[in-house]
Amino acid sequence: MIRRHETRLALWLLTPALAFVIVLGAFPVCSQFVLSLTDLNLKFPAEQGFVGLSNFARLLGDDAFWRDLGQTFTFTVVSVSLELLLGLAIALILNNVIRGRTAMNSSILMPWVLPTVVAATMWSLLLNDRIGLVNSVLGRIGLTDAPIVWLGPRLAMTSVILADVWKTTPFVAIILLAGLKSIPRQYYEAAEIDGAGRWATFRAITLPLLKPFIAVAVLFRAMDAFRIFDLIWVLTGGASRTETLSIYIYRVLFRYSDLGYGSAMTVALFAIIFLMSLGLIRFMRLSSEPR
Amino acid sequence: MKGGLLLAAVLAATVALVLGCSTPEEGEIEIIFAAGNDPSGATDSLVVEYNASHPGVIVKFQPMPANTDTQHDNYVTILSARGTAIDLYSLDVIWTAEFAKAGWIAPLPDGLIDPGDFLEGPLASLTYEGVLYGVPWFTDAGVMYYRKDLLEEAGVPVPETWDEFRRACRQVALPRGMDGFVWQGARYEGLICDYLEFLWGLGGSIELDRIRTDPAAVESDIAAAIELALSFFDDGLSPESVLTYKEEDSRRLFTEGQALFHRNWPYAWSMAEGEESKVKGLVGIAPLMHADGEKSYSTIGGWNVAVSSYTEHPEEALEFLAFITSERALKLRAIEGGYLPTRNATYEDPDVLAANPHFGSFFEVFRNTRNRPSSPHYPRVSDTIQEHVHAALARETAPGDAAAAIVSELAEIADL
Repeated sequence: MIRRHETRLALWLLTPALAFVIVLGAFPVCSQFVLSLTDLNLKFPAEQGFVGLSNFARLLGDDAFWRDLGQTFTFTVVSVSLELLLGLAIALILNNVIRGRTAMNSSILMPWVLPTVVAATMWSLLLNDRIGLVNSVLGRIGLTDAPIVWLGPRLAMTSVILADVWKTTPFVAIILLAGLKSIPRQYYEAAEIDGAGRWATFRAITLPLLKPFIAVAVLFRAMDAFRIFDLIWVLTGGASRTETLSIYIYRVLFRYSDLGYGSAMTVALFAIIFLMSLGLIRFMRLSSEPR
Repeated sequence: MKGGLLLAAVLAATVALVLGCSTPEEGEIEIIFAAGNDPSGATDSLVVEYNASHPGVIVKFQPMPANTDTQHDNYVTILSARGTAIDLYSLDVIWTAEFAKAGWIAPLPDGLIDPGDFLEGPLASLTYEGVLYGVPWFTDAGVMYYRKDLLEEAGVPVPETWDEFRRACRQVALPRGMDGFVWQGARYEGLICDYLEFLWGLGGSIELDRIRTDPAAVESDIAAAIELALSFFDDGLSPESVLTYKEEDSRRLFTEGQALFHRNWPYAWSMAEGEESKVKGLVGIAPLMHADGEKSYSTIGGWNVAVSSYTEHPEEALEFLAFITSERALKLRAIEGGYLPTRNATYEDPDVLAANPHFGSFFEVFRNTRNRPSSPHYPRVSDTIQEHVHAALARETAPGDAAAAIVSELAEIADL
């Protein structure tokens, strides 16, 4: 009896959250899917209609979509890997810092706190071939004789990835630092008594216990990186093989007002990110189960 | 009972008061005119003047965000909901077809203006399927800036053809370690403007109608213009970084004295002649170069004014349209704001020329202007050209392949 009462109470208490999820999550996704079955164009509403799955058929044959999907994937894999490695290194260092910890923590967070558009504009100035600080420093210390065109055809993707790594490594570092703090000191003391070396301790204690935190960091970063828009928009406008799916979607939805096809692309992007996240979660869960 | 009456009276008075504050006086008509901000204040004073001489009508100037795309998106949002909030819109020259096809702007009644008074190019930008949709307000066109001092010193005449241009760069710029030619090659709208000037100067054209009738010819025109632009890089005239440059990037190089030739809009003149410029007094203006036996063309920029199809006061809106594009208004905006007028006569006005002595040289350039392809789907047209031309200039694709892709995609857009 009490149990049933509690269940009912729990349901009531859950209602607001559930309503939020439906209104803010399920409803937009569903309406996006409905839109993706039409050829609605905001500019020419008279010509709209239901077109079934033809937007998705068009998607399959759209070279730009596949090209941008590949570029988005490259960007995500490279930048998230670098961020994870660097973030882990920074977290390990910060974890061993004793004096000035607060100052260190807050200074390392700076890039993450900056609005992306501000950071991107800053990088576009730093990387400017003639007036940018980067080329000026490289030239002064004699590493280069001609200015490097960082945002030009050859280096655009590299530069964009570097800017993203600079911007979001702090996020990974802070999450991993929280993870490191949660590992009980006794484990390390025990390992030391057993005579384990630093590397062995890291592999046998730190890494396994940090895995859930790595999973969270990678998951969040991968989802974010896959939707990257602002940084690349400011730095290259999508030129020189840096256009991502979000930029393509922006063009179709907002520049062309092509709601039907644009919605089909967002549905595809949603599905890809959803599957990618599921895969990552599974992989992390499997690999962190005790053997 | 008494109390109820009193309450009702107070309520009614309050409502009347509140309404009275937010609407014009009894019988007064409010006209909202939306356009990019005018920091010089000339537009504001014109509006004040107009209101003083037109009892019964109140015009309000609503400044819009400076970013062109943001303005476009704002207007699209209002108009696709058939909004009546704005009566007159100032529109970029490339928006006419889109707004006309959607039915958002009203055709201009015959007799409001004499088309012969206006520059041809801007007027053509307002014509969609043979119908005129507004009045040109101020204009812009690509010009070639050059270092007068260096050319004179070397005894090299101002080039007219690309061959002469190339020789001038080799002789004057390259030995000095300067860049020969800086322009706008980033992937954005500006690339289209520069690229089309190359294409037209070679005798090419890229109109959507021509793509329908003679796709092969358009394809070879497109490829030829790409080859021309590539040769600037191959010959060392333009640095590779041009492919990342917008107006201000190339302008900075030029006013720092690091380039011999510079393609930009008229605005760069006042920067080149400004206090911070290292080339003050050393700069000349010329029409863009062309191939032997062809003509020079500049891409038209600038803004028009059109009346919304959803305005509740079309007559009053048209009357203000005639005023804001009148000779008087254009003259005041030219003198106070430096806006390039769209009426031929204003270029001969002594007061205007006294305030802007360089307008004379610009007028020469403005005689041969052309519009970017007109299409209700202009953003798609623009993105297609931007994407493939940039990829070819970055040597990601061959010029021929880029040209073929542009033609097939534009043909598809033309059939929409």
